[in-house]
Amino acid sequence: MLNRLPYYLDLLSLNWFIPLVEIARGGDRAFYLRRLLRMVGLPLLAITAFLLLWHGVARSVRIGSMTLPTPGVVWARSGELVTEWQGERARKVTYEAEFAKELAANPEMSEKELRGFMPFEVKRTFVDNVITSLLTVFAGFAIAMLVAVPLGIVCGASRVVYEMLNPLIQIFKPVSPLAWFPVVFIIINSSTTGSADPVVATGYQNPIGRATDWLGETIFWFSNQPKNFRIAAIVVALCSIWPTLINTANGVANVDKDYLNVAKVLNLSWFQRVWRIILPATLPAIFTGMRLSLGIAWMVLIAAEMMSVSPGLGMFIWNWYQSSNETSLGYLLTAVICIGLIGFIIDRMMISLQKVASRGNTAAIR
Amino acid sequence: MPNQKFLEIINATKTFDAGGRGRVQVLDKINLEIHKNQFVSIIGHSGCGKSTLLSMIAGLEGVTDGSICLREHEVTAPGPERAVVFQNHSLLPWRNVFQNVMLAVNAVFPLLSKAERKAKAEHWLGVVGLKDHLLKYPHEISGGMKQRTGIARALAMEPEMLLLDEPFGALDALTRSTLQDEVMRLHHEHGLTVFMVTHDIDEALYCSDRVVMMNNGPRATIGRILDVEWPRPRDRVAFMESPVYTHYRTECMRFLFWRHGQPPASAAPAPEHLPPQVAPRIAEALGEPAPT
Repeated sequence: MLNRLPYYLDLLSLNWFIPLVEIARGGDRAFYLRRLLRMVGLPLLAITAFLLLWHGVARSVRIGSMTLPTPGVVWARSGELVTEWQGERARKVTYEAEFAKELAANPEMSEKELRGFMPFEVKRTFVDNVITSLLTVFAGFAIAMLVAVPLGIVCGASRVVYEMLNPLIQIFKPVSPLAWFPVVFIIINSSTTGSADPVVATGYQNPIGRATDWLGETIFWFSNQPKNFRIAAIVVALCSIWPTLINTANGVANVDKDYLNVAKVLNLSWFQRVWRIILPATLPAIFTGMRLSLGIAWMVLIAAEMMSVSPGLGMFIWNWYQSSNETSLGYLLTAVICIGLIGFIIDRMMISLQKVASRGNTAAIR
Repeated sequence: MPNQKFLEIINATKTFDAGGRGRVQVLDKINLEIHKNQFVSIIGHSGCGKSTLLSMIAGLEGVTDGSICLREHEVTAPGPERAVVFQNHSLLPWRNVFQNVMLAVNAVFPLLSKAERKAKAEHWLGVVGLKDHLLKYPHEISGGMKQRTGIARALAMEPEMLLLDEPFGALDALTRSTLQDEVMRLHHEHGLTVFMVTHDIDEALYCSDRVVMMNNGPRATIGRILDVEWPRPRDRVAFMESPVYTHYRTECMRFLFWRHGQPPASAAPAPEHLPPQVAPRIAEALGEPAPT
């Protein structure tokens, strides 16, 4: 177990812990301590220097009557935001306890009636916004992948399809999310499904009659989401689809000719060739594309949420921007740092997936 | 059936489309017969179309003109009776050694039970000496082991004919010798017919019953065929020490380097004083034909 641990830590991008494991395994203590110091110390040094510089600039620069928030202020603001979230959760728990007591005391009332008498005012906190943002970005990303991977495989497998679609791809690829937004907004806004609040996907009639129709269920769930959420997700999908599409197509087109010769010598059927040879050979390229796509999706998301007034980090920023005053800067910077950190974590996750996908070739990915 | 023709190449011609430069004829009217259980090597300068000829026998590429017949049936597509060992082993990196061989077993013997197929894959991996490395991935094993896996994958198809495309080119000399012996043992024990592309004269002579020497391309043809008559199983040292071997080797060198390499005039003259034990031997080998 201990022997395989550094390998798994590398897969999970937790390289910082590898020297500690090596020391535990009886490796050269001084050597690995030096490595640890280097791996952890250098980034830490840069971060400290950055914070000090920021602090110094914020303290000395004064714009009009306004001062810039120092790192300490931003830290305090983020603390406030977390406290607010915890407070809201506590309030919710208290309310539910109260509600259960009332429900037991008034057996003649149905739960729905009582809710009408005892409304709970939901207040969206920063943490709720972060969770919604993650949900939105993954919904948009999932839509993009559902289209990009199959289409990419077809493009890569057929020269004709590729040459047909390539100009279209190249034309739509550089379109900004801000340009897509009005188009998507008008189309989705005039559609009839969906409501102001998320509806639990009940009453869905499975049209195919299969036991699990996950695609149908998912589409039903999505079409019942609030319009703003759908608009943001679709804009994210439209902008993040391209890297995966292009990478998948290139990956399939560039499968090592030797592998295809192996398939030919073994007389593999078309399906076996795609499933056993082409797909596994293309997986690293697909994951590289997905990583780029998710990076773009996360960047686009904030703009999409801002414009569609969909709950999330984008809306949080928009609200503080609207009430722009001296305190808002601190909150805005908190959001900026939070966006950066989440983007970083998402990218690391994708790197791990990419490493798993391209087994035996991990050195190529950084 | 000793008289039945096994593999016949009749007037095989191959022309490639070379884009803007029109068409390039690589092979011109190749005629060759390979008997059952024969070990034939083909040797020539790079670019002369040796590998193309192998691809055509494998059925990976079609002939432009002429035909290739196996047991009097024309070859048009790859088949399980002709297994190929590729130059750079071509193992699938996402499958371990066992799974790579299973790919071939599953493809060729889909009707056998899972246990039987597993047993087959394990058997052939045992034959090439990889019994203890079944679960290793290609990046975890040495070049020699990769090529052994490639050979096991080919053998697992239980072919009649083994097509080797410069199989040991990327290996160090010692590993190469071991694998040559191994392939010769398999050829001998399993009654395989072997067609090997190589650019190593010693490898060709040591392994083969016939060495086919190609003229340079484009429009390459067969220049000479040398029959190597030395009983099997062969002993490397005894064979290579013999004057017969020196004779064969000189013949090959003459063909490859005098007729198709640098003209001898531009080469530096041979040293005047050859070591005494070498000179008479060469003379002897060149002077009299090889004993049969």
